[in-house]
Amino acid sequence: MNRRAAFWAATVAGCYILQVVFLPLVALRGVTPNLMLLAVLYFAVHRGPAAGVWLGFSWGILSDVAGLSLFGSQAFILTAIGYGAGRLQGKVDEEKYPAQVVLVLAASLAHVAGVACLEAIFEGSVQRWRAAVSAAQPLYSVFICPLVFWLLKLWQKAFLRQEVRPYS
Amino acid sequence: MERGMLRFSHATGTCVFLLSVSFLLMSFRLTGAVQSLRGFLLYWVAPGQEAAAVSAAYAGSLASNLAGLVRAREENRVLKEKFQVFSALHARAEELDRENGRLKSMLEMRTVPPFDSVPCRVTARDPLNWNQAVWIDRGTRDGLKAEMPVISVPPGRLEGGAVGRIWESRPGSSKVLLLSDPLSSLAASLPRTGEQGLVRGQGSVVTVEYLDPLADVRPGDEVVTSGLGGVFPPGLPIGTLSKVMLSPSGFKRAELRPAVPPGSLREVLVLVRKKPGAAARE
Repeated sequence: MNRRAAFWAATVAGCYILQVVFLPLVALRGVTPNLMLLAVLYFAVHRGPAAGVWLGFSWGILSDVAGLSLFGSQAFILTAIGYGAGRLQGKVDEEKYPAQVVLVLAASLAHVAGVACLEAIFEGSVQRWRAAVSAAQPLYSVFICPLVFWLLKLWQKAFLRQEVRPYS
Repeated sequence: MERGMLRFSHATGTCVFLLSVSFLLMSFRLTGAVQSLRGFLLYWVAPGQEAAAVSAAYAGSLASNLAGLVRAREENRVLKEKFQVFSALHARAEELDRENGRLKSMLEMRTVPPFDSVPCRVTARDPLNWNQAVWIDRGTRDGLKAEMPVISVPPGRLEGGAVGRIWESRPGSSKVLLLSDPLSSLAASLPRTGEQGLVRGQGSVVTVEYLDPLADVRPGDEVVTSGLGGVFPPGLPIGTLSKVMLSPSGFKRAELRPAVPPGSLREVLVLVRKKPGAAARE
């Protein structure tokens, strides 16, 4: 396995494990930030739509397998978000806090709306709207996104030292 | 420019392909093929998740283990003394249990079949519905299966209560649907008034529905399982009412403060119904 493949495998597995196992340490009244959504946004904006699409699908399918959501819905939504964010590559500076806030807030609301729409279409009713509509998770994600983006930047830099930003 | 166009169209093609795959998974999620695929993926995902949870728990408990080692000698002495007391209490409880059984038989009451309990550790949570589902480290290998009731005792308390039921079970792990999940419902009663209702998850809160509009229910009332439905034995604490209101349907509805806060779950007990023969022998 080459270095790049090892990097992506470790990133997918690491973020998933952090989301599922370690985030209780920072849960506020049971609400945790959506780390996988933040990571999809960071890598999509940083490395383009192809990375966003693949990462979104990978984390989405893992969430679907381990969670209670409509099977395939998280994969669908995160793939679409990864593609949409990837199209912004080179157009937004993801290191600026205002850009991060707008990006994360828009993506979080799209995620909530996407879950509700897919549940309504495939299951006949919106089963988790009351939980998902809670503003707490998007706000929490917005609050910690600078830290997560910074850590992902360090992680990427440490692992792929020889690489440069694709659009620089 | 041409290279940019190619890269763009490649990413778009991949996106369309993966969205189509996701769409097909959603459309055919109840078919055997997709269920098998999900089972196959879970087979590979669950052990990694479990190993990470065990590592995290081990790292978190290292410091407390060291401190505990220092206190172990004194605790051992105290526990031995307590054990003597509890042995006597246990014998007394068994005697009362037998007497209770005899009296119930005399009254021709249908006793609730006794349960065995399987202690389990919470290894992970649903990544997107944090307080609505947890993973535990026991599965079909230990005799667990879907719909079995799950109870727990919160840290620092002596009395616990119902927390949910098993949603699905794999050989080495099971997923527990907690009371707060919108898919969860549980028949309940209020011992003070005898009123019966339905405990339902609402995501961030748990409510008791369908209470008689004229019933004298108020905040602080205890809510226990009624035993209807046959999943939970009757009398298990569920929580206490925190707020009572009138629902648009005309019934009274109350918010519930769970006896076991879902965020505090570390260990749980799964109640396994004893086989009739085994129960009778005891």
